[in-house]
Amino acid sequence: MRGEVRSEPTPTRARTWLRRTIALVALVGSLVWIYGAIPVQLRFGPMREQIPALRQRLKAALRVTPGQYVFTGDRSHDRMLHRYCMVVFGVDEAGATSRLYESYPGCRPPAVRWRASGLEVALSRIISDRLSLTLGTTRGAKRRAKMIRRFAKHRRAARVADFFCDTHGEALAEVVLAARTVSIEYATPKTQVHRDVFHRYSCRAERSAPIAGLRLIEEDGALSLAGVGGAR
Amino acid sequence: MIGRVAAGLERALAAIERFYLGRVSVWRLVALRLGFGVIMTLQYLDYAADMELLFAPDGLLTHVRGASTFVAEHWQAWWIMTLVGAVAYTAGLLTRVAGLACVIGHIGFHGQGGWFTWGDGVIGHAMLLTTLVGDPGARLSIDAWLRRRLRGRAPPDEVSILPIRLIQAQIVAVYVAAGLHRIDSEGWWRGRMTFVALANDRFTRFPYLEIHRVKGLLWLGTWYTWLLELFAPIFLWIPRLGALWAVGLILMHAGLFATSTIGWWQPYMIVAISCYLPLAWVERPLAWIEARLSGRR
Repeated sequence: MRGEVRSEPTPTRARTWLRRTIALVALVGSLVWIYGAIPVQLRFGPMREQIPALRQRLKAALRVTPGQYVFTGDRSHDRMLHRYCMVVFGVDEAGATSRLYESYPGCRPPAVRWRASGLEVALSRIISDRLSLTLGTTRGAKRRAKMIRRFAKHRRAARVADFFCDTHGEALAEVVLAARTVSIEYATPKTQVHRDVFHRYSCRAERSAPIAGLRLIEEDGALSLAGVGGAR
Repeated sequence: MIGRVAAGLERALAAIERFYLGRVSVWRLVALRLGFGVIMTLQYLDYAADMELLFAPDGLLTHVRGASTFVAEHWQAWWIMTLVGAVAYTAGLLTRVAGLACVIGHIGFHGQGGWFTWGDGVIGHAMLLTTLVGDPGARLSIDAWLRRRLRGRAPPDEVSILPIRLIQAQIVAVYVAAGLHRIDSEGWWRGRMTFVALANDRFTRFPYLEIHRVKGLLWLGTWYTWLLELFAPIFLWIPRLGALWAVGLILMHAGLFATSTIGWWQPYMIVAISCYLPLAWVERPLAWIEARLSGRR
């Protein structure tokens, strides 16, 4: 690109100064923008602390940040999330369950995923931070219990459940968000671990309900819910 | 001594002015307009099936947010404004106004849930907005056609390089972020991150790919990606090597787009990186299309 840029032909003095001022503003702006993209631990100089605040303000105002943190992947490269299926169950007054949403029919992804639907993206984003916690092995049971407790009280999950309560009218007594994850190890394709996460929400009381006793049953890959009990 | 300093300063200022406000072939900016416009249009057509479910007052995002907003209340009008803006911007009809409408619409939708994005939240509209600093509708547009028909004004061959420089600054920022944030990441050092991306059926296009069989190839893919991104902020500016690096980055983004469903930012980056390709690669096809459309050979 170097050889193709041409100068402005014979500008006046006032115009020259105006143009140079604009160019300097653009230079400073570009440098600040690029500086803002440097990770904070590598940043130097007097604006080290100010840049994160500027980044937040830009993001709030224009939803733009200098650069972006892309896929750093620090914690999960030995064992990683491989399969996940989210199912939203509706529970009626008699305790009968129905499927309101499923990531894939029968929890089987298609051979080629041409696109991710908006609902799929939204729902998977809601629990994505919980899914990553399913990958731990060293503190397995303890970590899992903590993760499940957290998701059971997850405010955003409660609002998603409330969305399903509203869209299905009076028919539902409860909504259960359930997800099953399968992880895979880098070293070998054989080792896989299943983890289930739940969020249970009462459409009547409009609040999260205890999840104790819930479990997912798998038949030919499809998930169904057990432990919701009878009428309440 | 003072005279020499003043002369040096004068030269430096002139160089900065030339760098940011010099003239460049109009086709550079036209290519960006067509690329960003087509992607934005496709994006909002693709979202059609999801709009009501997500953005309406009783939609998912309104529920999660806990309160309705102006955009939610008028989601249909907002969507039409964004889509029509994108189409008009692409066609070059009231280009700047249309582009601005599209950007405002896009920001409005993305403001409905900070956690929700189609993988383009911080790229697409920023790039498109930057083109509006210049005159992206100067050629191969309805605006240019109307200007010629109604006012007899010949379309320009050159435009200000400012929007292109600002987009280049954003490209550099993206790769500074992408490259440097990984230097203390063990997964990248060990060459595993392409494997991680393709193993996850939330992102991969090919959930049944037996990735353990191609581990070595994926290890190479990780290093190819990282080295390209890490050195892009420098090598893109070196004559000849810059074009080669740009082609490498375009192939990388195309590969990511072909193998994963992580959103629209890959196509946006491919279009943006065209700033670093040789002019002839951009100019010839577009000039040919213009000649065909205007009946010239």
